Amino acid sequence: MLVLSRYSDASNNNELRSNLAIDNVTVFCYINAEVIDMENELISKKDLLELTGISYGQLYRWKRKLLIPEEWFVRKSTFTGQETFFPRDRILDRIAKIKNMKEDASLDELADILSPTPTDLQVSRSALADGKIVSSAALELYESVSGKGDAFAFGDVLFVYLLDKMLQSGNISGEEGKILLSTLKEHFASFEGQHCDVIFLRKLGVSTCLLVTAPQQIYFDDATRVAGRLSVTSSIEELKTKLVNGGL
Amino acid sequence: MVKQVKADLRINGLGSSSGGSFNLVQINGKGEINGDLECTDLQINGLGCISGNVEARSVRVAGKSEIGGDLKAGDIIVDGMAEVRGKLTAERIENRGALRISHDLGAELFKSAGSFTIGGLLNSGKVEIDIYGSCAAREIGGEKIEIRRGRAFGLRDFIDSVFPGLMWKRGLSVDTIEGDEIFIEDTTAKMVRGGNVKIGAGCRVDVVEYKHTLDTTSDAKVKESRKI
Repeated sequence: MLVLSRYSDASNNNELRSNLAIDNVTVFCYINAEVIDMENELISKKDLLELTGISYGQLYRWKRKLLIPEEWFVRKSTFTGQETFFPRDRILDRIAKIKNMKEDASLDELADILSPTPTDLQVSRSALADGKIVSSAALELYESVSGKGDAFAFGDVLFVYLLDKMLQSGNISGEEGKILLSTLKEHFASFEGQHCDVIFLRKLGVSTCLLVTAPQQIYFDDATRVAGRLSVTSSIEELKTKLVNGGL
Repeated sequence: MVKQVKADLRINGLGSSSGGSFNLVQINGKGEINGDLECTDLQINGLGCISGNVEARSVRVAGKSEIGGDLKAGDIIVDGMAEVRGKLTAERIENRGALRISHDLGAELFKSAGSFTIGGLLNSGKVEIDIYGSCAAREIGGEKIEIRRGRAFGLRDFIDSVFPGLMWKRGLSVDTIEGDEIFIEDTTAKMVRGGNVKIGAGCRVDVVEYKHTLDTTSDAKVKESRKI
């Protein structure tokens, strides 16, 4: 799935018109359709348990509680019969996270934090405004686009959080932040429950924003710069962890 | 929000419904539900066919039920025969009849004193199986797994003792068993992996991998075993 929104930066636009006599810039991109990320190494279940020191029982329990997504269990035939493999980096990262957090949270809470779906949490504006979760600049920009409110649904907080991360990294300007927000607002809902990445592109002074399902390899033509790429899934995890730790 | 009182759905005799959300759903006789069903309690006495997914707090089948989609429930008791063509997720499952699941089964407690066929993974915190009839699963995984030979004396055992080999094979066949504590009897498996493993009477296992202890009775056939 690919959602594209195009926007021409107003100030650069005039220049482009006069120099190049176009105000539309074509961006070529190539998406690798093999969704299973082949560049990631696989690890066998046996090696995984040895490396992390967890038992079969724990692994199966976490699977039941949906802490480890179904699609990470890759069945392959080997000389000893069918074996289960996992995408190495992601499973190791996930298990480290579960081990770290399981002292503070129950497995059900953990499942909620780790799931790619937004929760039905509500956050008041005053709690957001103290700058611990998102910067006030990002919050103000968000409000200038979608108006003020007393309470934010999790989805709104997520948008502010993504915007904040992009702005903080210095990769996009405030004006471009608005493109990001409008893309998210319009199209994020159609990804419900799926892992997705948000990509910000620039070509010849024109900025555009993409949402793609993750994991997905995507390539652009040479003149296109990837200004920023964020995994929405891991941002959701981070944000949920922050909200839970912040007692919200 | 207005609090809605959900209605009961009762089918006595022959009847059909298009599904929906209910409090109690009871089928006495033959009932057909074309669609998804969400209810507090589902009781099937007779024959119940549900074409979609089912979500319920408790499910009791004393007859025969066929579910076309996934089944998600708190407690499930099967005294007759239950077939699920999708996944089955529950807190507790107690099977005293025959269970047939096409895909994975996930539960905190899986208790069976009957026969079952599971097309995917049987994943349960505690697995307690008494083998009566033929049992099969692709994989079994969990914390504590106990698979025992059924202790009842019936006509079957009598026929078996007089004409051995006449009756169909009894036992559990599975590709892989993985768990922390494993005890198995009458089980044919390609691979058994666990912390503490006990292989009892009537087992045929290709490979056993264990972390702490392995205990094999003389009656069991284990081709290869290794400590990891």
